[in-house]
Amino acid sequence: MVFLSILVSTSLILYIIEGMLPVPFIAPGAKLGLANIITVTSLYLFGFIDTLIVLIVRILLATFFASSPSTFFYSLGGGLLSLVVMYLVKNIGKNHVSEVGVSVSGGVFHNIGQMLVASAIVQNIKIMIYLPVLMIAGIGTGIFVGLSSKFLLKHWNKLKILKY
Amino acid sequence: MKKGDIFIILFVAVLSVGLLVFYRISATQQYHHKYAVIMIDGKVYKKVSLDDVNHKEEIPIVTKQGKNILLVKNGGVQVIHAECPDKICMKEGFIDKPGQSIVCLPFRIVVEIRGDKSVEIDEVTY
Repeated sequence: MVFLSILVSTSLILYIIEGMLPVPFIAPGAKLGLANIITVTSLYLFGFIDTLIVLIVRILLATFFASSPSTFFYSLGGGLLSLVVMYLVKNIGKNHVSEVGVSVSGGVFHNIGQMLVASAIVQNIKIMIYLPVLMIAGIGTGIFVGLSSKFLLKHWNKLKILKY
Repeated sequence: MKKGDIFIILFVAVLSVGLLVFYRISATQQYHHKYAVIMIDGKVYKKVSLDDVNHKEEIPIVTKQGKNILLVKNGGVQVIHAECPDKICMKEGFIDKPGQSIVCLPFRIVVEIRGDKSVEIDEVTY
């Protein structure tokens, strides 16, 4: 439980810091997804259920701290879909897929989930036209996030409290 | 990086580039008329013809949450003022091709350019 709350607070801080960074991408709405580092790491350390708790608590708190209420549904839609896909990729891929592959598929499906929620809210499926650009951005950020959590997991073992 | 990672990355890259090419091809069709449709909450708020290149107009879009201003010029549209917090609709800039759209998620506004192949004007209002 303590570890889960540490993970929640870390991802919350990453989320807020990310909101302060200027968006370096051409595509409107594209983000780095720094908080996803924690989601990927937690998925490797604690498994699906605990990561689900971390994710939902993080999104709830992030809505209170950093963003407007309307972003809650986008985050939740994207986050849940991406977590389910990451879990599937991790388990089906087993030894053939590393953190990078898991986080790339998670990032891409995060975009897909958000676009689905967004098109339901504005009731216009045509905004899906942004999806390919966001997917390409998702590959880039996914690789970055995957490598980050790989390093994080590597150094986690030095803590000697909890091995994965 | 393992084999599966590279497979996933390549698969997504090919898929998204394919979708982009598909959109480009379907967007290059010729239209006799084009017009911008402004929608709030999925309902049509206003339609503006974009056939006249010299036509210039500022359209205020008033929603419950706030006001955005849409500028019509050079046969296209652009959001020049937005009261929403993220201002992403302003960053999307100027659009003038059928199929393109500007989305303002906080206010649930979608501005979409549509083309009309028939010569007669049915439902365009000025």
